[in-house]
Amino acid sequence: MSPTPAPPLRAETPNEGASESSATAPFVRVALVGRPNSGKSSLYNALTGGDAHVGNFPGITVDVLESEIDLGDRKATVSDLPGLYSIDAVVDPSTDEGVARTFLDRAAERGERMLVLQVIDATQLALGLRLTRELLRAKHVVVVVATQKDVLEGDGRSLDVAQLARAIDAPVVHVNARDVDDTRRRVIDALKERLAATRTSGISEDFDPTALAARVVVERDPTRAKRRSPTARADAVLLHPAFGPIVFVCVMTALFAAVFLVADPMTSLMDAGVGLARARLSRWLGEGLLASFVADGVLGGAGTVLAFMPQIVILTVAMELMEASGYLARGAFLVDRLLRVLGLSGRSFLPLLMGHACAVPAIAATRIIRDPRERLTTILVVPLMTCSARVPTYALIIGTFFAARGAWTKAGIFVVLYFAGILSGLVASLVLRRSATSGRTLPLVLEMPQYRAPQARVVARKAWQSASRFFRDVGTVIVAVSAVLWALLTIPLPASLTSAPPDAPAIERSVAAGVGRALEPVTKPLGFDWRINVGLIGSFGAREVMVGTMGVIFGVEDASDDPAPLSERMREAKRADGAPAYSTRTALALLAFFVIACQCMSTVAAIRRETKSIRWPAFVLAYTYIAAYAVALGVHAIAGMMGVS
Amino acid sequence: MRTVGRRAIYLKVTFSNVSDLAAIAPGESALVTELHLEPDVAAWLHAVGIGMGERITVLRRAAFGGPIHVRTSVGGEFAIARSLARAIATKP
Repeated sequence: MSPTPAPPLRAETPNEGASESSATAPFVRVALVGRPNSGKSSLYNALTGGDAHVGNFPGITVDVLESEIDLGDRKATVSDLPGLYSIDAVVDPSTDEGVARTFLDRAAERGERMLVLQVIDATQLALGLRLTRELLRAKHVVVVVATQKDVLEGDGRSLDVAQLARAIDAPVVHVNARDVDDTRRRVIDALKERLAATRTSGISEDFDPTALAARVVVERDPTRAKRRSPTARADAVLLHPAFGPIVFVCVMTALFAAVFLVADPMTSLMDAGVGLARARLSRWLGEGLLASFVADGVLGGAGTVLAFMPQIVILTVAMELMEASGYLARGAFLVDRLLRVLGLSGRSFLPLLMGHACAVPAIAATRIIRDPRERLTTILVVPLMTCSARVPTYALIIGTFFAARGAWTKAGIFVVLYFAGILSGLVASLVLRRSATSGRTLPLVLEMPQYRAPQARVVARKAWQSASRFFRDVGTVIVAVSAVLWALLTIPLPASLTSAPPDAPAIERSVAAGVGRALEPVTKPLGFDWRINVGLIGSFGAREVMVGTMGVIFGVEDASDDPAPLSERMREAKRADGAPAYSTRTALALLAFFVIACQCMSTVAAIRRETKSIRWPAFVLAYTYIAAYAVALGVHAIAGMMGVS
Repeated sequence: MRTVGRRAIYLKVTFSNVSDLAAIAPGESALVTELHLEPDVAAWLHAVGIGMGERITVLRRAAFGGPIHVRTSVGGEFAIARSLARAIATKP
C-alpha cells in the first residue's frame, strides 16, 4: 500500500474550485483523522450533532461513519476514520489502523477532493505533530484541531495557536470539544479558510515535532504543571500490584451482573411483545402453512434477534464507558501476562470479554489487535466463550436433569459451564498458536490514555451503532436460517423414507426428523436420540433455537417462555424398550456439546466478513463440532465410569 | 487475512555494554540509543514516540514479567511487552 496519495489531492492545488459558485462547487470530503484516544469521536459528535450513516466504500469492510455538514457555499461529507498513529509505518490492512490508511489511499485514487481534519490531543502535542508531518509530507491538505483545551489549561499551560499554524502552514484551532457550539463554529471556519487558501509555502514539512511542541506550549503556571496528574494518582491504585487486580475483578463482576440483571427484564419485555405479535398474526392469518411460516419461521427468528438487543446494547455501553474512560487499557495491562501464556496479548482482552455476551460484536472488536496472527487466533477462539445465547439451553438442561438439586448446585453448574467456555478457549488458543496460527507475533505496545469522563452522547451513538449493526448483520442471518429450519421441520418426508407412523405428529415425519434418525448411530454413544438430534439440527443456525425446537418435538407450546412443562416431558420421555430416554449422563454430554460447538450462523458470517475468506469460518465450524463431539463423548464415558446414572 | 512473514521480529543484540529498557527501575528514565528490532516495528515505535534519542521514563512494571508502563518524552504513556523492552538499548 503506498502512503503517497494521487496527484489531485496535492497540497499545491488546494485552490482549485475555491472561487466556484455553490451550484458547481465540487464534492469535498473531510476525513477525520487522529490517534486513538485523541478526542476524535467527541469532535465528530460536535461537528455533525451525532448524526451518522454508514458510508459505503469499496474495499473497506469496517463501518466508516459519515455525515454531511454545511460549509456555507457547499456541503461537505465528514468521514470518521478509525484511530491512526502513522501513515508511514507498515500495518496490516485489515486492522483499524490499516483501514484508515486504505481509506486515505482510496480517496486519493478516486481523485476526491479531500481535507484531512487531524485531531490532536493538545496535552500530547508532539506525538500528534509527528502524524501531522507525515500527512503534510504525503501532500495531504491538513487542518489541525487541538482538543483538550480545558485539561491543558488545568495543568497551567496554554497553546500558542498562531505560532503553531505558522510553523506547519495550516489552519489550527484549539477547542474544548465539550463546548459543542463553539467547537463546530471554529472548526467549520477553519475548513472554509483552508478551502479558500490559494497557496502553501511548501516548507511546512520540515519541522521537528518535539521542538515545535516545546515552543508552542507555553507554561503559564509551573507549580500546577509539577503536580502529580489525576491519571498518575489513579494509576497508583488501579495498577497497584495488589489492589489493581482486585479492582479489576470487581469491575468485571459488576459488568456481567449489569449485563444479566438489567438485560433480563428488558429481554422478557421484548419476548412478550413478540409473543403478542405472533398471537395477533395467527388470529389474522388463521391456521395453515402460511400462518405457521410467518409466525414460527419469520417472527420466531425476529424475536430471537430482538431478545438479544438489550444485552448487546448494555454490553456496548459498558465497553464504551471502559474504553472512553481509559480503564480498558489498564485492564489489558493487568491481564497481558496471563494472555501471553496462551500466545495472545492484552489487546485480545476486549474481544474475549465481549464474546461472553455475543461473539458477533466481539469478532468485529478484534480490529484493535494490530498483529494479524493474534487477531486471527482471537477470532477463532471467541466463539468458545459462553455467550448469552447458550444460557436458555443451559437453563433447560439444568432445569430438566438437575431439578431435584438445590439452587446452589444449579448455580454452581452454571459457573462451571462459564469456566468450561473460558478453559476451552484457552486450550484452543494454545493449540492454534502452535498449529494453524503459529509464528512470531508483534509484542504488546498499547497506549495508556489519560483517564477521562466519557461523554454521554458519544457513548449513546456507539451503542446505537452496534445495535443497528447487530440488527442488520445478525438479524438477517437469523431470520433466514430460522425460515430454512422451519421448512426442514415442517415439510414431511415421503412415507417410504420415514419410519414414523403416518398418524405421528408432523415434526416426526419431517425432513429434520429423517436426518435426526439417520444420525442416531453417530450420536448414540453420547446418549442422544433422534429428538435431541433434531434439536441440534434446529440449533445449527442459532443455538438458542434448541429450546423452541425441543418444545415443538415434545408438543409443548411456548417452551421458550416457560420451559417447565418441556422439562417434565423430557424427564418422562421413554425409549422403545420403556427405559428413560435421557439420563444425567446425556445431560452432561449435551452441556459439553453446547459449550464447544459453534452453533451460530451469525458468528460464522461475522468470521467470513472479518477474514474475507470461507476457509476460516469453515475451519471454525469443523474444529468446534469435532471437538464438541469428542468432549461430549469423553464426558459421557467418564460420567459412566464415575457411576453417574 | 494477510499475515506478516515468518522472519524473527527481534534482531540479534550486538552490543553487550548497554542497558536495555527492561532493566530500568520504575521511576528512573533513560535515553534510547538503539532499537534491535525489525525496521517495520522500529518505525512504528518511532511514530508513537519510542525512537532513538527519545528519553523514556519507566513508571511501573506489571507482575510476573508482564508489560512495562512507560512515559515518552513527548508525553504519551504506553504499556510495552517486556520482551520488546529488552530489545530497546538505553543509556542513562
